[in-house]
Amino acid sequence: MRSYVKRALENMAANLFLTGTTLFTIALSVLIAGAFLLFFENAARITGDWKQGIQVMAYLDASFTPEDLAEVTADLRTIHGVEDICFISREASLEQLQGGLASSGVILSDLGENPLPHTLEILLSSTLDTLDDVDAFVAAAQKKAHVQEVLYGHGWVETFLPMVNTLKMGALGLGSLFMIMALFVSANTVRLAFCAKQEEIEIMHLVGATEAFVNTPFYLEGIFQGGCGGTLGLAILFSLFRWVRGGIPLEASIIPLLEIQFLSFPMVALIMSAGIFLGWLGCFISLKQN
Amino acid sequence: MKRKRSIIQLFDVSKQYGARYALKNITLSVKPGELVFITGASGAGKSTLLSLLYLATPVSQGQIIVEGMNLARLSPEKIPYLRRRFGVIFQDFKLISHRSVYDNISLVLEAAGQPSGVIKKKVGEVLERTGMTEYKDALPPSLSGGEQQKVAVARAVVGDPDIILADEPTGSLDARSAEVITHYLMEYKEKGTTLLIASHNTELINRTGYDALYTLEAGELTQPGGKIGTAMNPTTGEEMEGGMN
Repeated sequence: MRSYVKRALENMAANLFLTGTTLFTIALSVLIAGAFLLFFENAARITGDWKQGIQVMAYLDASFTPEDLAEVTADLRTIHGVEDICFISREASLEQLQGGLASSGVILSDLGENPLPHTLEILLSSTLDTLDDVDAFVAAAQKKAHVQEVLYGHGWVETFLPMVNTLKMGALGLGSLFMIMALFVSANTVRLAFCAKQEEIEIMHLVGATEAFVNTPFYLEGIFQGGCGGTLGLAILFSLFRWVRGGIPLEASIIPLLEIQFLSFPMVALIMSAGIFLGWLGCFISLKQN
Repeated sequence: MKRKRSIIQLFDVSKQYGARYALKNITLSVKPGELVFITGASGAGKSTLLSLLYLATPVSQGQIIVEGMNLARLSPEKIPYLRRRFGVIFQDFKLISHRSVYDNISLVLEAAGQPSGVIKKKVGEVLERTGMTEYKDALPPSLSGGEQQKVAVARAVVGDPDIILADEPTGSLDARSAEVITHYLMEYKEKGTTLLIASHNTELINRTGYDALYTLEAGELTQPGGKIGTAMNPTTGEEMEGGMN
């Protein structure tokens, strides 16, 4: 193994420019993909985790009594996409309303009978991430017994869901694009190194070297470049993160700065693994073609 | 008369490059431990013949059997293992220019998966025997042709091969170095290693003697000369051991 590592290091030293280009491209890909992931992780945390899904309100009819709650809840749970259901009695709703209006001086004591219905707050699963999914759920819920009306912030969801989905697709698209670019550069670096060493490789074969003996240093090279590129990309991202966060005055921030954190450890591990895999895959593709 | 199984056999072997024959209908055999010379003018096909044996190039026609293995049926995965049985001294040395003399020689043992202790010991031995110890860290381009040839010889013998194929092994050496290297190769012959040497150096041939001498002319084998002892009996196919000088 020491001999393979030695030859891999010699290969890289002999092709410093190519090695540097590959390392930089992988670092850039990791930086861009990492920046998107950083944004998503923090956005999820700050917005109370948008991944938890959308909340809809099911207003129950006048015939509903709290004794029917278990049956209605079970019935609603038969529809795909229910994460959680919370019952709010009409009394609790009125109290909430009174509490909300107290500051504006409006008094509801003259209302007489409580006009508000019993309500179920339904939290939808994050798997329902399109408008059609949410509409389908609402339509199904409205057919259930005791459910009079189901409402959700249609306008907000209409804006929010496509925005999140666009960002997701953008991140995926750009990330994939840069990953492909890194793969292409990595594969070509190995191919060029392979061509530059054609004579040496031929001699190795002539003295009885197996394919594994010849190719292993190239794989090590790919893995090393992927690992170093990943580390470099993450280091740059971390520096930029510290710099940007440090540059925003606490009082000027619309969101609590302490809630903005760097990528979680699993995410860092995932990005590093992706970098290493990228280096290896580039080498694999290149050697398969030679 | 004693029968001996051949270590190398060529049956009606031809090698074509386009329409041109580099070798045509070659049939010969070599027994274990023999010293065999292939001689002939430049371009007669000597190097091509050797290259067919270690599968640097495939035959166009005919069959080659080495140590009982039919080379035409050898899977690509097994080729490296066949090549490890050979020690090849290339006419153009084929040394890796950016690797040291030591690394060039140790490559054979590294490729064979030998432990580092064994590599160090064996490489040290061959360097000493070829008088190249002081150049072990040198890069091949910094060496003279003769010195490079010594490195090529050292690399060929370091793996203790069953067969040494040598293409003009003393071609770049001065008289003194040629004598040292020849003597060194003959030691391997004494140890039972088979030597197949392509050379047009008659002095070398006469000095070492031989078990068989084949002459190539324009890719075809001419009838061996008087000192030749080994040939296949064309009617029975039996091989006979001949006398050595």
